Amino acid sequence: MRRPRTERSSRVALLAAAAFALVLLADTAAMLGGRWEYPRISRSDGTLLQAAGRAGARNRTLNVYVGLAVREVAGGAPSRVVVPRDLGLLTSREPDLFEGVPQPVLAPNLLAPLLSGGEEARDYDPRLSSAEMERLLASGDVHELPDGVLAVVPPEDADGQRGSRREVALFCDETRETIVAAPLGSASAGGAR
Amino acid sequence: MSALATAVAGNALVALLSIAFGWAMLWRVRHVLGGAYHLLALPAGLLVWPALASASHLAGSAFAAGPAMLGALVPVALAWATTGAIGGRDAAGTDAAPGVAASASRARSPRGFAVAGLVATAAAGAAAAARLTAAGYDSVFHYALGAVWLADTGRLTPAIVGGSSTLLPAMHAAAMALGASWTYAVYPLLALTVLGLLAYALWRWAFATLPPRRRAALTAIATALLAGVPAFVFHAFYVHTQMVSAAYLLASLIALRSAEDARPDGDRRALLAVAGLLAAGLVLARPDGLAYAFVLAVVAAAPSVAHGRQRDAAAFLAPLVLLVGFAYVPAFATLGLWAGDKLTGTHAAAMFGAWMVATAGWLLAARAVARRPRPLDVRAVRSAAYAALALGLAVVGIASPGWFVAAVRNGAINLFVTGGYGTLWYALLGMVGLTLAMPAARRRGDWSATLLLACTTFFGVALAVHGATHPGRLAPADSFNRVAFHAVPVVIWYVGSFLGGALSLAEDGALGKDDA
Repeated sequence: MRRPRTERSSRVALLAAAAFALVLLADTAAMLGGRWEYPRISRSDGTLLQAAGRAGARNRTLNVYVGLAVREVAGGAPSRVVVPRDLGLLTSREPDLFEGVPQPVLAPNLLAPLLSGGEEARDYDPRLSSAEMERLLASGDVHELPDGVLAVVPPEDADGQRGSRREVALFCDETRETIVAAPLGSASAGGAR
Repeated sequence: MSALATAVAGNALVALLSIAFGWAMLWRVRHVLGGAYHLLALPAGLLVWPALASASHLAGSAFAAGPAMLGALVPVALAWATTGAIGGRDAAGTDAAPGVAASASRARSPRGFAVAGLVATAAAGAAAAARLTAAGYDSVFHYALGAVWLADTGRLTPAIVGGSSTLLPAMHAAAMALGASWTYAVYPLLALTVLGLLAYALWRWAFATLPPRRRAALTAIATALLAGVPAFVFHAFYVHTQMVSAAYLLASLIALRSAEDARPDGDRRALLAVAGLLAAGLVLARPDGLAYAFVLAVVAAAPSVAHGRQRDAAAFLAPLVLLVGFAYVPAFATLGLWAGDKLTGTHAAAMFGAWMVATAGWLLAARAVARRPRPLDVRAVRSAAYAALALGLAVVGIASPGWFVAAVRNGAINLFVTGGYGTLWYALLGMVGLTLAMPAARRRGDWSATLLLACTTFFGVALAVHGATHPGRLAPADSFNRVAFHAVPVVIWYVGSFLGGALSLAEDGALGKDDA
């Protein structure tokens, strides 16, 4: 009786393992046939900018775009970033609701990692008139980021001075649809110098 | 060099540097690790990055800048000290099982290194060039943003230490320092590592008693099955902790299994030290990693207590405590009991307290058994571990019944319906159920009782963590649902062990050697 029992057990185990394999293969086949229940796997362009756009958190991602714009102006980590004490002045976007509570569109804790601790909150109105905005955009190379975020990168100094470039300020247009990061002192909205 | 080329190069470099550091860390035990030496290099080497983060924090410099670079030597020195000192000498593997001795000889030969180096370079280059990635909220807002801050300032923050734990932000910061603003290549490389480690475990132990062709075929089939699981494919590219933690859990268990074969005692303890090192990776990959590392401690403790081996406890715990301590002590020293919505300073302190109690219990139990005339039956120790797990779950269930029930319900529904696993957990639990119904075959399976203990403890800890902190939601992105992935390779190893046992039993039965 011993040998038939162990052979039976082995057959049961093998059959079960084969069934197990077939079940997993069915899922694999479904995947290869196009069924995919996870977020998309895609090709990266190597940038955080692209990854942020794919993270699917629109209002929060705006913080990443603004932070990256600051870093483009500064050429890396900024040494000083002047921001309005009320960051909501920079955007007209409606806040998301989390459990019924409005969440700020631009938040210090979401901006801070990209600003490397250089943020300096000031009481100023970041809105620029059309004329001021035109002058600002003409003062350097304009890099366009998603969601209406612009970075005004100053042209290279003759002697390669970076000190002023690393000091950045945030502005917006009159409608608060466009947020602009620019070198500090390149515009004078509400006293942000 | 274009920005894209820089990103590709940075991604490949961070992986290759990690492997090089891993080779250095495991150098003293290469003789006893055999082929696993090269497979364990990447997970071991990744531990350099959180050490650099701590060193940068202490030095007050940007990540890995100036004297903070010396932080990279900390895990290397710790690994050398713990594997060497505890092993007593360079673990020579002189009494290793024949298969290990042969593969160890090949692994440490110049040709072995050349082959491993070529494979690593090709794999890293391919992963970097393919640029495949998947990103979610955590990928960007926890790991990438934390990495930018760390790269610029070198400072640990509550968000990094408590929200994401240091390993991933530090790894991403390293890649940023090498020119890659988005880190993606390490994840598929870890997936390949998991596949390699599973194949190693199945070949070396689970199917070891089978005829060579059947052994090779079953190893290949089981590994290929895992590679084709949709969840595995996703997590191979997803910038998050899942594949990282799966790699550390499997890697540490493989070191623990290797330790059971090792002779003399010094070699065993050296491998326990490797297991402890890799357990530190499990701790540092996630804010709840301190809880999941209990799984590895239980597995390490069972034979140690049963045989009264106190030095085995020290071997496993020393590198784990020292590496995790180097990550957390600077944070405690400067941030105090930090606040947060995941691992707060108070939670972390409580977990360290629990670890101290568990460690004391382990050492005292081993000491008590050492004074007995005979060792304990390890089955009794495992039963005690199950009882402790049940008691822990009961405590959580009584303390927060609503969340506990919700965590169990949400966890089960996600695994079987809403979590994106398809039929995977039906298949795995079906096989596990079969193993319980066929005890003779299960007992015959190599290390099957320990693997079952590991899997059960893992899910018990996961239920306790989520029952106590957050019951989750019905979605693939739910925390418990993602955490369950960490155990998939181990469950497959267990199923393989059972199958190997059943087939081996049948062969012995056919030869008239069975004792069923």
